[in-house]
Amino acid sequence: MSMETEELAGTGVRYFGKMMAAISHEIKNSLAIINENAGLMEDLSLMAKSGHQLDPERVGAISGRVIKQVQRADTTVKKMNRLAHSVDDPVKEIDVADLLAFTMELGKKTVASLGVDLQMTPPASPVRINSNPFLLMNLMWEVMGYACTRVNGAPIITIAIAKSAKGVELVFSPVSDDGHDGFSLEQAPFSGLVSCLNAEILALADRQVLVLILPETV
Amino acid sequence: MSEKILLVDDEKEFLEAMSERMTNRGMEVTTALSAKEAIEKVKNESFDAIIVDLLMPEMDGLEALETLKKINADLQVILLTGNATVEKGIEAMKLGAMDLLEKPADLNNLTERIKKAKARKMILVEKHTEEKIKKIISSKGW
Repeated sequence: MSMETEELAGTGVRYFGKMMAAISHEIKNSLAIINENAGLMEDLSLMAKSGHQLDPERVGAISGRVIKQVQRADTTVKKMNRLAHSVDDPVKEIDVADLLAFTMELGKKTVASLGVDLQMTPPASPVRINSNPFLLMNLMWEVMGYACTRVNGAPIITIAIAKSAKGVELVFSPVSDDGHDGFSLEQAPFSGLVSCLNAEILALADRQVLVLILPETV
Repeated sequence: MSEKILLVDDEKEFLEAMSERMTNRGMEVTTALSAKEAIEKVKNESFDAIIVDLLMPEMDGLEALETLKKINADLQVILLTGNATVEKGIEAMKLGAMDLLEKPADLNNLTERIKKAKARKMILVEKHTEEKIKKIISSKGW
């Protein structure tokens, strides 16, 4: 395995692992809520056995909470399934906004733990490219993480998607250099992914933006 | 006397169901949806045990534990986590957590830990009172 391939495999496995940990945490949260509500039902049934009247509305509310959590867990499992199948095709037609929204959704809690709010400005009409879904998600995630450490001012980063002459642009703003070594994009953890996907990344310090340029076809 | 608990989790529905079950078992439960809210409550109120979710936005359970212990080193903090790892457990214990339990937690098990937390807290309070009395006695030359 070449150094580049080895590096890419490592980055990919790390990303996959991080997302799987976030997903399993989400499922555990649903299970914990279901567990507590089942416990409440048990409490109510014990109370009913000892002569307390069972309130049907109370029972209905508890079962409603259980149903809600089952639906939430089902949505989470669907996300896990989509992530798992993102490695199926080496190149596939991708709706960039849809994939970015999915990548943001998967990493929502991790980003929130950094105290940053990521927001997407979708394009007026769907923008599609042919690329590798998993590697592209991995790249989007790494750039998001990089931007989150260089957020400027209020902890809100907007990601705007627009068509450009070179393909599609994802513009992250406001992002500033760290005041020490500029943007150091060559050393950033996504440099291997950028070259593998024939992408380009630019830091425009004066506009405080980071631009990820994706080709129409990888 | 009932145990006074502060339950901290960013999952509102978890807080509601868990606090109701604890209340059914005779505990006095206060809830907080974030570590920041919990820290404010700890500054104004005394609790026998604080149960904190490990993964929360803005400030996670370990950071919260560190801050809570700085406010009062005697606080008995039990961490709850969806994904317990040995590393996290060690880190939590180093920072002074009383315990680290996995979610979904068994309430009987948790109740046992809460009782232990209360007993520990009472021992610490007694110890500090004794130390204060000794200080007063020695300062007065009795």
